[in-house]
Amino acid sequence: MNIRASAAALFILSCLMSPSALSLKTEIHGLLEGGLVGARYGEPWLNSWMDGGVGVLRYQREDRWEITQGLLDAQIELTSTLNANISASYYPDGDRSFGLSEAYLHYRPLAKNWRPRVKAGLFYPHFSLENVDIGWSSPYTQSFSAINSWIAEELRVAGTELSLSLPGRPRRSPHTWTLSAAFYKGNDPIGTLLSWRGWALHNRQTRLGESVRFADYFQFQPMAEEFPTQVDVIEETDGRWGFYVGGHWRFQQSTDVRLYYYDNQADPLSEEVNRQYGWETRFTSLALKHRRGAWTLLMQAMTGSSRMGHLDEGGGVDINFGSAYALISRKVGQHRFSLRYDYFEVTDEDRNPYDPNRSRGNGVTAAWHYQWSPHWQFRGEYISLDSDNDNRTLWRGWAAQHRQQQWVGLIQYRF
Amino acid sequence: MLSRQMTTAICTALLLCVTTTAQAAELLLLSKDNLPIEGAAVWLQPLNNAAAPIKSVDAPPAVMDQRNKQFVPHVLTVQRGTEVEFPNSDKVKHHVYSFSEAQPFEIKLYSGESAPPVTFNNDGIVVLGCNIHDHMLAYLVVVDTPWHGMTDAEGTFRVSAPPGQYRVKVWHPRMHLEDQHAQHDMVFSESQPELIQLRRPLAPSVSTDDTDEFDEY
Repeated sequence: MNIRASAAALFILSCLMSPSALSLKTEIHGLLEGGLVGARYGEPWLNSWMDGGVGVLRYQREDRWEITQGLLDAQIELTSTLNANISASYYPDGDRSFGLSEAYLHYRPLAKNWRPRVKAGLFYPHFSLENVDIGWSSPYTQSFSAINSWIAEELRVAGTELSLSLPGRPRRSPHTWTLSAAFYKGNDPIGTLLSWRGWALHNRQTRLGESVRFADYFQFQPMAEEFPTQVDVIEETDGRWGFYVGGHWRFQQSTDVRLYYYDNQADPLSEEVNRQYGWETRFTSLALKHRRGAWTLLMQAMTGSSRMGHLDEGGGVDINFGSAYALISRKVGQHRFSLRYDYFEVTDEDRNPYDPNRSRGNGVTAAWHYQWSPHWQFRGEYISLDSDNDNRTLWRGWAAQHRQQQWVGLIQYRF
Repeated sequence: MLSRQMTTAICTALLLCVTTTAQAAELLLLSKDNLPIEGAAVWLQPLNNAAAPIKSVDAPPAVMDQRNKQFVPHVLTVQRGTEVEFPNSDKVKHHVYSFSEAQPFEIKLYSGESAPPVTFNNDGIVVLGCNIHDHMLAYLVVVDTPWHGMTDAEGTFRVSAPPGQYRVKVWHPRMHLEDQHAQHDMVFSESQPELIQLRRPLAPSVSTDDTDEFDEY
């Protein structure tokens, strides 16, 4: 487990549990959610990667009632301008039930023009405009876009982000600018899931210390040792610093554009004793949000690459990846209707016949949310997704291309 | 103990007294192209050495609310020495501040809790911001007279002031400096509304109050 991230989390937890924390102002928001979840797909092995399947949706073929998630955001005011932020969650599936998805200090000094902000700890970068609700969930759909499903499961930085923001309104300009840069450790294995499982649509966030399991794609390879079928997302394997830089432009209150470049600068030859590799992963992300009246348009596109291992000896993985989505959402009274289209692909740049990494797919997601009262929200969502992943054909008689469908009917209690 | 008739008589006399010493002064504010200007601060300073009454200590505090991550109202006029309450009608915390020369201050506003009011003792424009929600912006116009207020949708400002000569000042966030510095000496004695027309156009609006709950991410 990453030492820096653990230290930050421990520090914040100790702040929370110390007697003085009782006198600190704490703002807590959360939600508890449950209901009916189910899916349809042709073959039993298209189940969730978390159960060792080669499917790209979260839920199983049998309809079932379950507590689907519990999310909690706590903001503890340490001083007038310094907060400790913690996001904790519960999920019924995956590696662990409970965990911390974010734990960081946030410094917001009062400033006249350019406003500096500093974050330190474990946190999500603000690449997208989709995950803006409690616990990094989405107010538009239950599942995230392919891009942000991947960010949720494989991208988390343990480091420091400095941003400078120049709000437009106080200086009578319609333009608000933000520049952001971060340096971090950890996040070396990012790219693992895209290379093997491929893109997916879900809302299962990986928490501090968690592993994400996936199918055993390596059983057919002539390898001396067994290769791990899980990724320790926040692991640091090579001691190198990663970075990301980006900028936000906002026009009035209606349009937001965010452009980021991420590079974990991992050593693709680094390896931990538990056979977690460093994946040299870099990408560019461009996100847009535009609001007009009750309508919201969200778009995001990402393109990047990831590589690992001794490529010159034919023993590594080298992929390019890309994805884009467009989401339209309309609020009608207390109802919100959203429709999203995702496209995603991974191209295989290495020539290892035992490890085909090419995959491609697209999905349509339709969601309805109804805010029944300030505390209660009903949600329904349907996903239809096609995925075409070459490595499914490693199994005798299995086809690469499949359609999967998933539906949820949920009730949320929000506080 | 006073009889009911006597109380009524005293009240009627007091009312008569008030109606004879104060009358509704009415002013119409128009833009350069003759359109009514809503949301402008207007205040009347008495001329002829007549001092404006000092604010009474038991006057109710003024209110600058935080609602849907906006200040409500956008512009608020108060007499010097007035307490201003900053309630928080949102579910999230606000951190209101001002760097204005008239009165720099900061105050944390927690959801469901009331914060102590802030007293504004210096004249001037106090620009308010929120350190958590950068788009939040409002103005407190602190004046040294009890005769102040805002123009309505028709550009009209009404105040109960004793008849006499006044220096009228007008302020709007988008008003040109030339108009901000302009002084208008007027006599409010007739039922005819006075008229002020700006010499320069208002600056274009750069922002709306159209926020949604997910704007500050």
